[in-house]
Amino acid sequence: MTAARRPALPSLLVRLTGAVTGLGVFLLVTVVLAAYIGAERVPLPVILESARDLLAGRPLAGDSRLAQIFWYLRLPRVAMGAIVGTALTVAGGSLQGLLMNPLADPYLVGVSAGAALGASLATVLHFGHTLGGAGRCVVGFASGALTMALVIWLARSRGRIHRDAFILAGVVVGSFMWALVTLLMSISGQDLQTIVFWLMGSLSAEADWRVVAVVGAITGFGCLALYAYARDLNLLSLGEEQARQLGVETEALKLWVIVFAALVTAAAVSVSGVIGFVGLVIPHIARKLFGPDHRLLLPAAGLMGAAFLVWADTLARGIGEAFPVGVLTALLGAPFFFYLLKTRPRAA
Amino acid sequence: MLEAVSLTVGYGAEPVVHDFSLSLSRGQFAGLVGPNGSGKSTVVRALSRTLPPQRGRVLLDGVDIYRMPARELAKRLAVVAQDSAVAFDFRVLDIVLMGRSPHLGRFSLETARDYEVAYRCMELTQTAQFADRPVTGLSGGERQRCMIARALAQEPEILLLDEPTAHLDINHQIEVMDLARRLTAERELGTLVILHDLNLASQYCDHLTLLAAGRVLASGPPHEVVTEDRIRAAYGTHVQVRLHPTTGRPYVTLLSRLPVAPPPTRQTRIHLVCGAGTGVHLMRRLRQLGFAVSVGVVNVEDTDQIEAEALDLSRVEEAPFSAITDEAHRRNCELAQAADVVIVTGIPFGPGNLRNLEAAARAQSAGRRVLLIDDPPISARDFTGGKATELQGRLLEAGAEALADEAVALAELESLP
Repeated sequence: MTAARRPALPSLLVRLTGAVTGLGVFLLVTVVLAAYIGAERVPLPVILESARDLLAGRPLAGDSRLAQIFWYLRLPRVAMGAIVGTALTVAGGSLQGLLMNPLADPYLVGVSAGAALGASLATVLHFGHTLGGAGRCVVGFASGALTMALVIWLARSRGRIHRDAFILAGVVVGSFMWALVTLLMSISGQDLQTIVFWLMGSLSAEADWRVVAVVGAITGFGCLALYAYARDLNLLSLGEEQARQLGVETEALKLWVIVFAALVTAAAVSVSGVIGFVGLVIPHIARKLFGPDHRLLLPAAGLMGAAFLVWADTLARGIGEAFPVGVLTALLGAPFFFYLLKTRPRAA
Repeated sequence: MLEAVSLTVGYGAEPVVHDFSLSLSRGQFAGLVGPNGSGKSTVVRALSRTLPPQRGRVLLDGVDIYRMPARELAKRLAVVAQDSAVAFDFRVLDIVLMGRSPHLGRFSLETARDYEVAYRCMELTQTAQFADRPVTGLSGGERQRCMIARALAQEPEILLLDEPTAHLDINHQIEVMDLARRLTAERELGTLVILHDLNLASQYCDHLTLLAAGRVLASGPPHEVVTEDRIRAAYGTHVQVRLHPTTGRPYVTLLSRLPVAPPPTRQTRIHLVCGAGTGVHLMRRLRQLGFAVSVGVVNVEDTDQIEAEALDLSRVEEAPFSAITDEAHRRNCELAQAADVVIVTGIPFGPGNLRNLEAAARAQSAGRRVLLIDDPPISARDFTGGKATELQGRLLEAGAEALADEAVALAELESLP
């Protein structure tokens, strides 16, 4: 009799394995297809032959130009898209959980504005091509991290981070930073176009395997760290006090979730500019599909975000090599978000 | 055992609770009562390691809980909050499994045993049938039970319930309190319940602590804590406390501070000779009709006396189950003669209260109109060996009117100015 009443839904482990396997395969297919699709057709034999060369550590033989395009232009760009997509969705999903608000966004922390300011500054000062070409990324990341520190400092009083104060501080600091970015743009002269293009969000700028490796490492580390707090985020939805009474050190939780979410966001923004709506809409969809348990939600959303951004970028490349993917995600994401808002079953 | 030792606790510089002490051992069902803002929830926060006290300590088996890691404490002490809102639509099973969290490592998933514990707790609280439903879709009582299941899944020794019956219908209040009481016994929990309702607290708890303005006003078994004086001191309102006939626990009746009836609007003054509940209805109706009413002689704790006190009528009282003394008789006669009409209800007469009838006779000889409600007939309620029947006969001869019942009496009186 007892057994008959037990829920039909399989245990978390089963659902997690299923979701990660399914979405992982989908992402893999996405990456391969996206690298294959492009203005210049790279024949399959060329790819396979060059892959053998690479694995053997030989220089690329045969039609090396096409192989170069595939291995050193498209594939790093696709990989970057997957990493940035993961970073933004995992950060967004974690912040939504932390703030108990399904409408939170990774850019809420003000990090994007901070990183944008740093990157614009690096452009104006022609600092972008120092540090082996990664100067703009490094400055962008550093200023994003500093902004996060400022926001946390503002939101803290008597050793506690207040979530309302945190949202306010993020918005206000963000506005201030954007004002500075605008100021820089107005005096930047011929660099204006570079800044504007970067701000619109694009994966074309920094597609270089070394940058991919660094951003990938930061994102991997940050997402893993956020995942370590997944169950604590579940408990937090009972309210901060209840979470504490269930053994969660809530102040540490808030601090580290903000730090790691900001870290991966800063890493993403520093290489791709401001790609909007991915971190807001994808976790939202994942929650509808997989439920609110962050232990399932975060990995599922991360994989979905990766695949989504890769497809969006492929579409953007199809429209035109210079078409910024950030514009596309906003064009797709915003109407979809309107739809979600109007069809919400309950008041959140 | 959970002990609070001289806690002073609050949010800013000004403490909310002063010098609070309490000890709660396993198997004990204790209650914390007090007016709004007296600091009840603050105490729960201090006891659950969410609000460090400014002075004093909270000890669990002798160890300061503020020196324990949150997770260690959560394995031994569970709290069910007053506000059980959940931000996302987790299923009930997920919520109950959250109670297993203190027992799990950071990356480990729930094992078969954790599921087993969760199902058992859901069965105990009768929430298993909702296991797959989103918690946001449950009613208040169902959600409260789900939260209790979650707390039980922690497998605690100590359970703190912050107003578990707030916002619940009476059937759910009883359900939740019965459940808490049963679990306390079965699982040998030490349970502390914050309650708004003094009667629920008195009925269920073995031990009560009454908090007022942040200080412990009384602490002990319900009959020592729930008294008229202490409730008045804590809440600043008049109540009546009686032992409940079924539970034997103190039972609080709220007395309205509004006048129960408007001031008299008629000139006729009525003296009611009653007792044993025979005058309850009549005295209220007469006051409502606008008569000035006095009552005599009624025994303290008698239903008529309680009603007369509630209506704030002039009355003559006698000690419970005692015969009417000379002094009470004298005052009863005075009140009867001050009235225009004397009504004698269908009281059973014994040697102890026969003088009530004498008082009516004295009033009659002084020219007052006397009405006798002969319901049931005097022969059926004469326990004086015929003296009462004889006295009533003499009254009737002298012009007193016999009325069939209360309704006739009221109809008769309604025409009076």
